[in-house]
Amino acid sequence: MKEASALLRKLGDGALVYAGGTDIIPRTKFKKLAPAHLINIKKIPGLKGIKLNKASLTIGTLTRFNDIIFSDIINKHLPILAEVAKGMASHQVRNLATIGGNICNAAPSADSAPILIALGSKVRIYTPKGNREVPLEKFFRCACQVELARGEILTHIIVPLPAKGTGLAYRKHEIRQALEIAITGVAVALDIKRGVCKDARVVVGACAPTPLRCKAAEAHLVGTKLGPEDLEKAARSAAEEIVPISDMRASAEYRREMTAVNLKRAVEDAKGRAGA
Amino acid sequence: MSKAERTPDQKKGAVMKKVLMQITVNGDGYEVAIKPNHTLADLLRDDLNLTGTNIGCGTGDCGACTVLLNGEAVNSCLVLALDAAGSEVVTIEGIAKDGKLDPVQKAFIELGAIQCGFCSPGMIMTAKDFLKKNPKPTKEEATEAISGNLCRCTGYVKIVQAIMEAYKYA
Repeated sequence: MKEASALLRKLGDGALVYAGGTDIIPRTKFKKLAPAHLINIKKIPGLKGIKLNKASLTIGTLTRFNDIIFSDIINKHLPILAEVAKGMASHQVRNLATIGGNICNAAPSADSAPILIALGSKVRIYTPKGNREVPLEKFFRCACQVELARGEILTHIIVPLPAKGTGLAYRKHEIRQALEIAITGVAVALDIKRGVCKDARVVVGACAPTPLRCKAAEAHLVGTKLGPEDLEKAARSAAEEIVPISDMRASAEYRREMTAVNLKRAVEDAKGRAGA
Repeated sequence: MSKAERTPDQKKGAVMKKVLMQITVNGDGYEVAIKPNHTLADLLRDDLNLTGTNIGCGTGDCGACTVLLNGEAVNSCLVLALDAAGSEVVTIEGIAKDGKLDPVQKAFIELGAIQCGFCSPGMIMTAKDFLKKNPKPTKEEATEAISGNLCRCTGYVKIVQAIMEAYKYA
């Protein structure tokens, strides 16, 4: 780790951390990137695997999405993450792509970030002066940039385990069903007690430079029984809070509409899973 | 298809030196001198003359280049060759045993799952990985299994059928 960090600092802008390569290689081939050096971190020990703690999971940055999908710990304690992973890229890509890479590549449309933010996740970062931890919600600086200084490396993602009575859902709006980038991705985490929503986190991807927490939408859900009018208000609110662009995949207006639609769907999914 | 070795961003005259690496492909050990910016797909096709693995998109979107890397299906166009040093790779050339076709190959041939054949090696290697864990899949499972592989000829119907019935050809 020390060596990798030192190399990154020494080589500067021309050096990139290389793990799965599933973003770096295509972007290099498309001439969006031209790294002079790739620092392969895959042999650094302690960065792989999923650890079950009392109230959280610690996921190593090198954990691949297929490792997540086939993990007993994930399927027992946080199946939503496996569900999200199954909707990403393809089986072949998921045998290479790492969760740390997906986070640090920071594509606005990335699928892992919204649900991880909704769960209140933190990231642990190696720095030459010792580790530091940052809430994932604060880790995205802007499109394709995370809050990492040169020489810092993401090592682990710490995900709090949802309390009993929590419903989790992720709705990815896409044109085709695989190898597709979200037009909008809505993650929802609801704490429901006796039919009343006590807390809500709504995080939308692909509709802003970074994953966006829609706090006004959340406010429309908290304290309600999540009836149709509550969902409609929250959906309209989210559609206003996001700052989508028009690009080759969709217009900004379509993204607003589909965010509203998928927020309602995600809330219904989460409601059904809360089981409290 | 070999990509350009130098991008306009790299200094003129700065040529990448080849690096020596070991790799096992289809059970055979090789030593190859390879440029750091070449992929596993390039190594297999250009350096080892194993041209069964096809490069379609070159960016991990079509699955034509699928091989088994340490037993797992990956897009070989996304793996840097040097990153596969010391690994075991199985390609389409490596699945027939003692001159006898693999059951998946037999199923593909006999059920008409091959037309132009360009996607077939990638489809078959993906199927090999998938069928290890699920040898008698449903139509939905077999369809999902190949969601990382594109075919422009067959419409996927026979491919899905071949994957569902490969166990019969064992």
